[in-house]
Amino acid sequence: MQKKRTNKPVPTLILGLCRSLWTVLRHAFVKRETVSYPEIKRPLPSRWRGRIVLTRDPDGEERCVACYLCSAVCPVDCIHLQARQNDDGRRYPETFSIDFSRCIFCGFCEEACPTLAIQLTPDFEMCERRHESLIYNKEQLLIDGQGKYPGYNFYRHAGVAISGKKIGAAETDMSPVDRDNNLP
Amino acid sequence: MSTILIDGRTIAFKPGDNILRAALEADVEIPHFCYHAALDSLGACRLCAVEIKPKNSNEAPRLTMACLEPAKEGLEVSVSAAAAQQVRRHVIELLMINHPHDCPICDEGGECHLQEMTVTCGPPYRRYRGRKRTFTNQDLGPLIHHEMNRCITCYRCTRFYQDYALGNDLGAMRLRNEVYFGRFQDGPLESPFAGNLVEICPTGVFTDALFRQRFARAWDLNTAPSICPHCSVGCNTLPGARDGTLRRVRSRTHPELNRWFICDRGRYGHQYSEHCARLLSPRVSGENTSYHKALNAATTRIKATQNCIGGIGSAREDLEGNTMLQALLNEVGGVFTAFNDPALEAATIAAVSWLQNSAGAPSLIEMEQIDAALIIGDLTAHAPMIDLALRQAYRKGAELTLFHSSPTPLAQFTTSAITVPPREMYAKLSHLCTLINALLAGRDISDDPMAVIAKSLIKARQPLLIGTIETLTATDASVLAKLAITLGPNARLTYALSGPNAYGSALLAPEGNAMQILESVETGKIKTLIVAGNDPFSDPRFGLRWRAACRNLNTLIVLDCILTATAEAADILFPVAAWTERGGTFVNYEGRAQSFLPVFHRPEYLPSAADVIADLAKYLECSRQDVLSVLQDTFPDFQVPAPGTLGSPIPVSLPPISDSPSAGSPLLSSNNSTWQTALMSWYGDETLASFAPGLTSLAPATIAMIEQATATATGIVDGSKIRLRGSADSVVLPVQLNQNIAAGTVGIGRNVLVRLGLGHGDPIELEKVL
Amino acid sequence: METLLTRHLDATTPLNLAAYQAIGGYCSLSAAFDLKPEKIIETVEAADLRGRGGAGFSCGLKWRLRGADAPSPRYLICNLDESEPGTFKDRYLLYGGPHQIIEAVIVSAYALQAERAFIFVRGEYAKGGHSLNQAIQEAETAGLLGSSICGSGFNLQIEVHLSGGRYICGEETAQINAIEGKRPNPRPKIPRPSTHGLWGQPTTTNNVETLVNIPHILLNGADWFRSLGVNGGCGPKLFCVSGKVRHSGLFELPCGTPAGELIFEHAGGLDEGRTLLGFLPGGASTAFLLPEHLDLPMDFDPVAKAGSRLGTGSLIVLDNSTCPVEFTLNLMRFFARESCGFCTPCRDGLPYLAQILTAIASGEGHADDLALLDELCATVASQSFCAFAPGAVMPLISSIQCFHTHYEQHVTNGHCPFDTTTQGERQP
Repeated sequence: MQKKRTNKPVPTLILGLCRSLWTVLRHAFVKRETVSYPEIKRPLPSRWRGRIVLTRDPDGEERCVACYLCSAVCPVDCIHLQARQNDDGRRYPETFSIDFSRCIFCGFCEEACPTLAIQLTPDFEMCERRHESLIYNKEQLLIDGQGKYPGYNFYRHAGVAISGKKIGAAETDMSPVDRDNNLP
Repeated sequence: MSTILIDGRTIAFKPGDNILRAALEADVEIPHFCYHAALDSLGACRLCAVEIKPKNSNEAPRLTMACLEPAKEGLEVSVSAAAAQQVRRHVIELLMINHPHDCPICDEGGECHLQEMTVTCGPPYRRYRGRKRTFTNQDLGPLIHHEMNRCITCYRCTRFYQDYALGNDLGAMRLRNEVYFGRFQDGPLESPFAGNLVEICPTGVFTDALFRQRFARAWDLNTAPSICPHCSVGCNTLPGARDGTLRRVRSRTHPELNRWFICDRGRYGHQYSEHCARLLSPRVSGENTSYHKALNAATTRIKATQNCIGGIGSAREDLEGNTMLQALLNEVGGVFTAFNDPALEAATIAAVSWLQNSAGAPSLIEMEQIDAALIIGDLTAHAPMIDLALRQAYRKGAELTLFHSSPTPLAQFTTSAITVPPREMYAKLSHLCTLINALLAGRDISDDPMAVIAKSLIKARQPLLIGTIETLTATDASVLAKLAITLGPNARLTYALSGPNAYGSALLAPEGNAMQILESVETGKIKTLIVAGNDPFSDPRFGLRWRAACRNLNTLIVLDCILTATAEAADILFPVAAWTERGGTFVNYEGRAQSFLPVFHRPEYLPSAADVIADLAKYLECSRQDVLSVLQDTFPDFQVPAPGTLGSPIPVSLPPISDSPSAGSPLLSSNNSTWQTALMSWYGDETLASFAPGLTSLAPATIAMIEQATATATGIVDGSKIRLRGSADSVVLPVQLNQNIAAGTVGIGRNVLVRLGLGHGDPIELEKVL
Repeated sequence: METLLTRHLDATTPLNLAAYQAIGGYCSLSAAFDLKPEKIIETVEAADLRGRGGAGFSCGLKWRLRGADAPSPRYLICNLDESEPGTFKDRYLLYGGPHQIIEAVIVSAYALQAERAFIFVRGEYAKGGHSLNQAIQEAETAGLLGSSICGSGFNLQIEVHLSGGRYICGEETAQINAIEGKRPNPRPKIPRPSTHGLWGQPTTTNNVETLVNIPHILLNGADWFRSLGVNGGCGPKLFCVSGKVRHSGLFELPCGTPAGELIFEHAGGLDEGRTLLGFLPGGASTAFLLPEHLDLPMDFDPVAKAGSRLGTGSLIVLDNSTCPVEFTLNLMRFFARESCGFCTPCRDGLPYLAQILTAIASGEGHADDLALLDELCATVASQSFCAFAPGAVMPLISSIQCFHTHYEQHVTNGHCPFDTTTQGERQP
């Protein structure tokens, strides 16, 4: 009876092995896709949804007017704030906190914000050792710049008066009506 | 039943209804702005366009405004027709032309009718290329913020303020798209109902200025059905809280009581809840301690003074708290009263007894239908919403008669207004009773100066008799009741009582207990006094006596939510939850029990007064420790109503008053030449509301008011200073002459009365200061 | 023709009572008091006297529809609140002869059995109102006003109400609100003022020119009155002609006089070398008529059939040097300014239309602006609360139809084809 051949001949095996080894050796010298983070950091597009910041307007005042829209739209309820009005007539957040352990970086808050205040930046380096440190308060969120959308100041379009801008001085407004006079 | 068809749905309507009213009653939404159920149709906004299918199929369907189109049987209406939608789209586009870009910073956002209508019917984009007209704002006082740019000229504010609430300092000015709604002169709004502008304005022109100080969006607020704790009317409210603090109070609809509105005291008086004088920690002998330790201390002292204990409940504590305290005192051999002024106790119990043994008090909606009324006292200060209901009756032609000792805003709407010195009120009312009897017997009384009043009451189809209990004696209250009986079965009797639960508290203990407790404390027979939600030290007439008497006590135990004068002197102090932080029941002036739910809980959890007393009962090992069962035992036929419902009547339990006038006439004095006091109050004058800085900033100046003729006779000049002497103290005040104060009377504010140790109608010494 | 209403008018020294009576004034009183009020109303209706205040409704019919059994007190209001641009006839009547007005009011009030009459005078005509008051005092002293006038048993008190100003006070229900001391917003159409007017009582309002015809109808009869008109018109009409004519002014002519005769014969025609572009027949809130309508009789029905309204009979003439867009803009800015501010389409719609028109007129119009104007005009005209806004957009709708090419040129060229200089900045 003829013995059935179940194994490949030895030379074929060794050849296959050498080919594999050669492929592996070749890859030792191929250009890496892997970026050796943190020595080298990959550039991210500006619309990359990372750490949330609160930006300022072109005049240097904080943009956030504490309208509560971001906290309302947030799907995981991670934003908490309390509105207050200062003597200038500007509304601002007395407290503003984001719980980054809950935040899913969806970007809904940035879409909802009517003053372009809250923005997501391409920064993900937010590790903390303690859970509580992931709750950022306003001091940790407010930045000095205008973020991704320079040039917009909400109060230049709103109708209310703030210090430095009287009623009627908004970009789309006329001077106020004289209410004590019935003449045309 | 008559019906119309709206988009295929059958809607019932009452005769005289227009399409919009019928639709809104049936919960069918037709977009609208200027219509309001209280103000009826106007036809100004043009948003409620609907298409009517013609009977004749050859005719074209016609567009009409639903608020001006009377509902007729079988009318077929379409809200969703394309032509109607187009009209609405244009109307919204036109209204939004001048609307400022304010939504993110506008307080109304989230509960803004304009937002809803714009999203529902308006175009999504703006094509107007011109500029917006703007307005400057007015300072309308500390309670209302004014932002006129947002106005859509629906006229609701001026219709409410002038036509409904009969105010005259706010209205429309100018014309065309520059119509301006504001005060004709700068300054705070004068109407006690101005706060309703906040709710009636469909945009953010008028917003709650106190809420603005710690603002939160409506969708974030914790709310629950509640009852206003500031007077005996029992208006339904909807408080809103967030993050463990009370932020605002809005009205809640009750179809028989306050309907869509509340007064400013109810809307803005809530600031006491977040006041720094809020009591948050139990105290024993001045030191903060734990609840458990305080209970232990109280238990020890109560056990040590069994049978020598007294308890004062309150007209502003809920029914559960008062009932628990009474039950506890029964078990430990103590005496209970709900009042710290024996005269007020007598008057309230008399009033409630008369009410329980008559047809019963009318609801506010019934009061709007009366055609004549006799009003005793300053109704606006004691029950502002009853004043508003009577203004509606006045608008329909009712003849109002007023007997008053001090100025009251209602006087301008009366047919006859007579100033009556407090001590002469009984005589005046008795004389009126005699006149009416004479007229009914057919005798001629036309010589009498009060003949007109008697005639007006007799010929009325439904006369109302109402007295403000705080400034009446028990005898005055009884005479008023007898007057009602004389006028026949159509006459309705009611009283404005002294607190949200005055009616309920009056049912718990007999008259005379207050004086008994006071005298027992003075003589040392009572050694421990428990005060729940009351402030005897600040009572005008008896405050100084209580203060002196309580020095004899072993222990003064106080349960309250706010630091009152009595709370300051407490040996053991229990902080309790304010009315928005607990559930309970208030019995209003009608005897209607209404329940309220806790809106929120503070981080430092506070129990209600009933809970504290129940815990005390537990520690004292009393047999009855459960609030509900105690309530059931005290009022066997009573079913506590569910919160958010219309309420349920408290069962009758007081016997009718016997005919003999009680001894409760401390105001009768034979010496008519001395001056007497009259309490000058205002709509913000109430214990809890006195801790609301927004309201108190509008309090009238501290003056002494004297009537012109009396002043001339005694040589007192307007603006001069006088010294007023009471039982314990004297005070120098500037004089103001006014025709609305009774002759021989000095009108002074509550704070001054407390300082002088005098009550309404007490004799007072007066001398000019050079 | 011999003038009837204007022959004795003298604005510098109007006739006093004695002088007026000398030329036959106040004769109609005795004629009226001899007749029953119903008879007078019948005669007025037979005379086909149409209202000269703008609506053109039959005066006699209006009086008859009020009903003889209207509960007293009844009121008559003489509307002298003339604010329609281009109209100045009532001013002539007021300044030139107050006694004529008083006589007219007396006989009309008698016909209506009204015991109190108000003459609502435009605020700017204060001097005229003052002289009217003086005339009333003269009449009272002479027993022509007050109780039992001329022994007839008829009592009448006339009060002059000087308007606080603004066009909307000319609207019937707004005028009633103004007399009551309220803001002059119009009232809902139901209940009608003839049943619930001033203070809830039956009130009739007529224009002053309508009323001054009444004494003559009473003295000379309905047939005579009808014969004074031509081309089917009844009675005399005071025509105001203004605009690009050589001699603008007031002309009393038979009602039904053709437009061409008015413009070219009486008003002296156009300037040298100019051609007619179009004209408004009855003041600002009417539709344009074109040169093809020159033969049209200036009477209520013929003009209505041609698509416009006779209104107050005040012609405003445009020639080929007038930019119709600018002209319409002027009118729209006036109407936007005069809105009372009650309802949304008028209050906010008219300024919107004016803003778009401003953009077009200054060359900043967009291609779809004309369609936008049509879209908005439809809602403003049909969904407003009173007749002001429909009247306000009538010249706009009509000018877009009649002068469409002019509008298109403005949009395409980016500036007004009539203006050779650069357009300045314009405020909305």
